[in-house]
Amino acid sequence: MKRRDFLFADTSTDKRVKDDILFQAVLAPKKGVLTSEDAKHLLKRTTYNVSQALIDKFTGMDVSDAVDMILGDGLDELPENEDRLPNGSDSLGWIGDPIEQNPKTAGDVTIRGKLEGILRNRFKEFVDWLIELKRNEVIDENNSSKEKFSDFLSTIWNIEFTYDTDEFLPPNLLYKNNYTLRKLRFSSYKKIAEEMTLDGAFLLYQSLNLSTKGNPNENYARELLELFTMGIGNYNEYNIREMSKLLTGWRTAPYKQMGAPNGYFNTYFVPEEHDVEEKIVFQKSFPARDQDSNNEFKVREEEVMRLITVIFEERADAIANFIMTKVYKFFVYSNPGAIDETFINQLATVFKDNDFNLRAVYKFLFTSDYFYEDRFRGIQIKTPVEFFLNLQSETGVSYDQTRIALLQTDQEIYEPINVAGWLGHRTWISTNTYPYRATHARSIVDRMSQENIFAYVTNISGSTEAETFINNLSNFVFPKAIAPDRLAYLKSVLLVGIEESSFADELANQSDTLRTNLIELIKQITITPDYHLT
Amino acid sequence: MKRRDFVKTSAGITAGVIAAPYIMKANHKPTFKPASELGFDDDDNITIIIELFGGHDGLNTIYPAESAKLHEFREFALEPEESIKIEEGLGLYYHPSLVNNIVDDGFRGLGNTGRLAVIEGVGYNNMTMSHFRSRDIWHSGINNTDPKFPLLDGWLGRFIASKLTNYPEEVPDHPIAVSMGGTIPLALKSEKGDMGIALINPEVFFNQGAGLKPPYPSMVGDDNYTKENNFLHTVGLQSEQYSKAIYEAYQSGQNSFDYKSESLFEKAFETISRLINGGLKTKIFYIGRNFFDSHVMQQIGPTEGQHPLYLNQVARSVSNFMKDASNLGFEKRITGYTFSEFGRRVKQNGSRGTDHGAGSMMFVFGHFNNLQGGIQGTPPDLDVLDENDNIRVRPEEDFRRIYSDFLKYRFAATDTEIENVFGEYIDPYEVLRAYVSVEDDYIKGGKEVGLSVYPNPSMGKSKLAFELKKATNLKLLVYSYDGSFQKEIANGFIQAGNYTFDLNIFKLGMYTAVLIIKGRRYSTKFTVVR
Repeated sequence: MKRRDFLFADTSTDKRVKDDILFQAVLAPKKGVLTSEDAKHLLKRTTYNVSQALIDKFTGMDVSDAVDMILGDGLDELPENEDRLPNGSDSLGWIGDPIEQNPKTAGDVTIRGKLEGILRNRFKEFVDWLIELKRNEVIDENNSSKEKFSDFLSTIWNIEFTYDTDEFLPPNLLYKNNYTLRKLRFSSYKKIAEEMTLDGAFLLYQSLNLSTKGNPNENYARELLELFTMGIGNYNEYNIREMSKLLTGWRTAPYKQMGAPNGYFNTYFVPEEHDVEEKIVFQKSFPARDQDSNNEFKVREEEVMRLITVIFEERADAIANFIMTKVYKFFVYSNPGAIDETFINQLATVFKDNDFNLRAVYKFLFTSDYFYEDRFRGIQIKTPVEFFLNLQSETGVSYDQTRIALLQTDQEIYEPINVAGWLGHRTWISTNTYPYRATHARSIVDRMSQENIFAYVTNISGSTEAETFINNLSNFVFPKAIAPDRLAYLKSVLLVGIEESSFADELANQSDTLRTNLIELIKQITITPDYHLT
Repeated sequence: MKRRDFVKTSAGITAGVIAAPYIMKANHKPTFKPASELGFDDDDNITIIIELFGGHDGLNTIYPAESAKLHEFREFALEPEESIKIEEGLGLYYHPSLVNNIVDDGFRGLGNTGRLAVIEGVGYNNMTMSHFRSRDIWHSGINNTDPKFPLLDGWLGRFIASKLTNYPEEVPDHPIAVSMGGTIPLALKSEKGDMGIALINPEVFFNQGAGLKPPYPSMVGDDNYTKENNFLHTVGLQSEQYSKAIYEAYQSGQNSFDYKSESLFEKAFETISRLINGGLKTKIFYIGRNFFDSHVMQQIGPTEGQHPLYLNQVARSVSNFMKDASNLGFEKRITGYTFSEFGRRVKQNGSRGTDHGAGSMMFVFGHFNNLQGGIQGTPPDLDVLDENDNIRVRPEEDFRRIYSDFLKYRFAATDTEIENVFGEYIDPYEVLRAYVSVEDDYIKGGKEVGLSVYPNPSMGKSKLAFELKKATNLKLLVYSYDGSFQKEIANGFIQAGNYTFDLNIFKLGMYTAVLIIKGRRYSTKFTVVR
């Protein structure tokens, strides 16, 4: 029995223990406890909401325990753990509610406008809700990190709200898709591929909803291989054509007028549209089927699910390398010219040995010596989401223009530039986006209340002494210590019109002068290059 | 202890030690100089690059509308009556979106005045149908489809970086390249950094750029933290410096008419024109348009559907821009081209669209002094497709040859510089040339003397004579005075030599005989009397 079969077949809770034993045998993780710098590095890379208090909590923890707290048990996908996941039905009342028809099919221009308006409003609410989830994220014994790890998957499985020629993807489907990725963020990547292939949002976005026998559409088949699993150079055009035939016949039901055999927003199968001829993918035969076997249940099992199995079996190495490269770029260093193949191979081995389980990979990564090397600290350019959420977390401000800020800094949620998603690294920063970061950062700081401003100070330890405060603040907001002259400069901004010796008094009295200076200081921090690094 | 002693040199120092502060350069303030003092040729050439992202269907832009095969393969292909025939013949037609409702007859107008070339069948060896890899190949100018080989910089980025030897200590006072839109394309990236800036709105840029120059120098070091930090530092600096230069040009410049832009894409051309008119010394403007990936419902008639819609935007924008350039007096400085990462499948798919293809066509446009207009390359052969059912690309139609043309003729690059950009010397395509008058080149004697009709006036039997200096394709047509076509006298490839053609038009009236060579028209009038 292959080791893989053993892990896969075993569904007891001992599974988690077996995983730990497995990878510990492969390589010795970083030993010992986390220093405060280690804790800061780990937390900044795994969550958007990092406070000094959270860093303090993780300081002194054993690295394995710390990572276990961040990852949780990885079993959110189990039905009994449903309540762990954020449920949108309270804030987003329209989750189960389909609109009448596809706006594009409405003959009347007024009706079309009205329907599009509904979809746009729902989309805005959905995105605002997602942003709120990120703001409110808590990491502790009962709450694992959800946002960064779901976002990581979203950067692979890209979807655009506005696609093709002015089509809008019903936000109900985006919500479902997002929920699925969050649920499976620590699960098997194979499972993710299975669920995404028949996911309603993808059926629409990648034209599978229109794919019929005789006229199959290649869009999804190509992207599944090229963008979502293995990358180019690992398949040929013949495979794409055969896969397109295999994937015919699946539909989603987002509109009242179009019927919903499995309920609205659930995927269903139309046998008449399915190509029942034999298909050969990666040299494996998917035999032709007759009327009796051309039904939803069988086609799903014997063709779609089996397709994913075949892909992961036939191209395990390519998939592992491709996906682990993405993990590396997202969590370690996004520079496409600095990919460390050796370490990625280690990640790939863990990935394959654990049947493509993501939690196993993350556990390995975040407890490795490698991750904590100094050369990886402070080299990641913050994504716009990271930049704005870090700042809101630090300032205590809930910025209602976050969605706009993200649009203007090129990370409009669910509107990536195209299906390959964002290129990341330095493409986040241009003479267009950098000024927008600065402008919105200023707006955020301007919205700090009196309470926020002085809490900003007291949240930093050693805050009654100007010198200590500046040093500790700098250590908190910047990834690495900055040169003494720059510290001196920041201190000078803090102490405009204030004697250093009276800093403690000014603080206690919450003086107007100090308040003004603090606002200016925080703004200066936001246009410091170091602040854009993590 | 000197500060420098604290600088960490070895990797792998475990946490617990706060890393020592990094050293900064003393007195680092870049010097801003005109491009001509930084190794660039002292010309005022401007290159406009338009990317049609998604896979532009060249076969539905310039196409053989009369071909039965075309209509057999594509239900949505337009009929000859719906399309606009290209004078030169070869059976090719303009898509009506390129011409109708566009100023000065759109691309037909440009074509008829020698301002437009169509380069057919362009691509590269073994084209990949991945948008992203293929696009990277077009941007980097490196023909490598192996995903293990990362493409990290662009052909123009490398060229510009090779000129800016003291970057970032010495930088151009105006941005060498501007990407209209929020992002810097790969084409403008280099190892030294981004060789262009991103611009959407000059006024917003100016307001936001103020104060972004870091009040301290950049850092010294070879590690990634220093490099990323300095990259951010440079962007902050450029934001402040260049937003001022752009703003000044924007304030002093103006357009000669309202383009009535309906999209940001079209508006970008208006902005470019105004900036040029206002004195901005930028040499390269890049604009990208999405939405050419027409898998579904590509076309529902001459004006409806994804393809006609966006094609029309492109044609409108370029035509408006060229007219504006002419009115404002800077047209002579302009050349530009469109490109796309690949064309589309010859046969349509089941969703009234097309899947990814291979070779396609490029438009090259500009003042007629700057290029040889007309159809060039190999028009699509629908009888012989490649193994993926795509239009074949021949080795001589490598897209880098067009780039080489631009480097040679618009950037005064030497052969060595061209070789350094591509890693090998690429033979220029020669669509761009210092324009040589057709009269001097082909017809002996100059414009009026070159073509002569005798006897004139005649009673019908007359002859047209000229001396052809070089072998070429040509067409000889006769129109009556009201512009209506009368007859075709000759059409084909002929050798150099002296020629006479019988005109033999017996209906009374005034006529014009037109000789067309490579998009240039030569005419002479004659009369038939009783």
